[in-house]
Amino acid sequence: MILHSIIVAIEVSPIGDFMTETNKLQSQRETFGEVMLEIAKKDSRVVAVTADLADSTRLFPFREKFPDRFFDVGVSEQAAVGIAVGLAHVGFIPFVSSFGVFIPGRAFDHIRVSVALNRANVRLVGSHLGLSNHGDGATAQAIEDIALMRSLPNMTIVSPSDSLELKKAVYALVDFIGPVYLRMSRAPSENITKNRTPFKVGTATILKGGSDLTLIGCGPILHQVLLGVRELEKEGISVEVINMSTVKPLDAETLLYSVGKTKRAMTIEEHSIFGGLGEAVAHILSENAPVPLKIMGIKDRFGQSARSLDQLYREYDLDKRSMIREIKELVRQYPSLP
Amino acid sequence: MNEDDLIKIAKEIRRDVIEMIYCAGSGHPGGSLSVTDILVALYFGGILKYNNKNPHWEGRDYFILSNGHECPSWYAVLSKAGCVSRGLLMKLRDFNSPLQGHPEKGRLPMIETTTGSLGQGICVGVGIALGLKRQKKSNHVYIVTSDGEHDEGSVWETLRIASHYGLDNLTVIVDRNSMQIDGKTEKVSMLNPLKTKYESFGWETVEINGHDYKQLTSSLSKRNPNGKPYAIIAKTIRGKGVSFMENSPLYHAKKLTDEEYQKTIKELSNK
Repeated sequence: MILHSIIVAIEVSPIGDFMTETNKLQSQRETFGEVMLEIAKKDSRVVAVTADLADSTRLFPFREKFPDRFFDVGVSEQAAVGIAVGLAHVGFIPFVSSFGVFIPGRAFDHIRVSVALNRANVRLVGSHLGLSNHGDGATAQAIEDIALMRSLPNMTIVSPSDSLELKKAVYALVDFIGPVYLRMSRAPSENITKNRTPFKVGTATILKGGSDLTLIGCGPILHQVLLGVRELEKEGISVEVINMSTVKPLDAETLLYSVGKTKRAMTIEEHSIFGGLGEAVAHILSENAPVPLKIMGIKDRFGQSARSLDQLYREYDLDKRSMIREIKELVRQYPSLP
Repeated sequence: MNEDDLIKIAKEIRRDVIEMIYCAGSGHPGGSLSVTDILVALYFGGILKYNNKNPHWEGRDYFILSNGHECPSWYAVLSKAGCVSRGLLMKLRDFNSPLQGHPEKGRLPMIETTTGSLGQGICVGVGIALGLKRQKKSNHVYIVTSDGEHDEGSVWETLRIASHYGLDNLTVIVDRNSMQIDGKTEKVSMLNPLKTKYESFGWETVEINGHDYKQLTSSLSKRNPNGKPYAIIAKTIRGKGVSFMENSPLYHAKKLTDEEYQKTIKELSNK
């Protein structure tokens, strides 16, 4: 079976092909604010709900332009979720945004019952994913949100790799049926996908072909991954990179196709190693195609404040150097595989 | 319907509630009996607009039982109103039954939103009222909640928000039976002065006897001219209608014994 994502892989497989278009740094939250304005102009059902974080999720222009479709409920994340559900029940398409630690974190049971069990057509938007709120530290760093949302039936989880993909995801979610959790970063990052890279909820993209190991990631951390992979290529280690931007339901077909070739796998995510993308991948691989797998993420620790995100990436082994080290170790440990 | 008719219906509903909970082997008799008159007034007192042939009729009013555990009474009322077949009532809490222990959207067409985890239905109801207002629709939203549910912080979040948006298309009815699982509400975690609290949150508020149909129908049919959401604190008796259950701390959630069941049915048949 030829997969859509594989066709993409053939298109973009030459090393270094990513980041070739004009590439200014932009955070996903900036893009979110822009694209919300665009889709609201096109579709009168789109509304925004926020819990006193309109500025942090860049919704002030939306508030200006569509005051009747903008609901700031104050610092009340549980009510924000419930109110979004009510708006969805009468036909609106609400995007309810906050920091990922609060939505889904603080509002978890409201999401469990009123959104997921209810199958409400609500888009939950958790900003400041992972360590991207480096200044505020542990209380504001969402490193458990994927785990929370993965545990819920009916919930779809989308974690785009860059601003371009976030934009496509928001467009795709307008007509999507059912509850969705959309994860986005505060940190400015470079685009690694292209305008022509297709986006479909539930379909992974192979960003770069390779033969020695499959690296599966989600979110803007993939930018570092691609930089690291380029260095490994010079040393003769060929890594296939999958952008698993839909974490749930996971695109098992693309994963198994790739790992079937490479026989080694590694995951990387700005999230706890518990309950995140890594465990989702481990689940699929262990039941279908057991191969050596390394899960990279935050290892049973809370985050902390730092002056820069790079400091935190280094401390939590999410930087390029750590990734290169772990890939080399995996290849060394399992030199030849059947 | 006149008051006598409503009283007669309420007695039938209470009997159904007891039979359903007895048959199910578990459930919440105390609250189900205290809320019965409120629900009967809404559905049969000419208050709530609904269409039993077309549950999703666009002109309907929205009803949400935010304290979902009182649903046996609601299910029985829905049956009496022709929205649920009578044969289903004894399927309460049965495997794969549309009559789940707590109301679940999608299981029965009249359920606007899933409730049962306290503090949620009221938030969703406020969202519905807000949405209807933005759509300039005239449907009204009725939310029944309980005093115990007000221990949830999200209730107060949403009361504040409803007032901020001037949701005069919203009526909240508090089943104020003054009891919760662990005992009397004022002893567990003081809720009074509840009316003052609502008023201070910007709500038009009235206190009534929640078993008096004149007071129920007149307050429920009131439309607020002041651009404020409207709260009815309906003082009720937990276990109302069954002598040994009234105000007893034992009947929040309980499996009814054969003896209790027989005694209850006898009382509800004789009065």
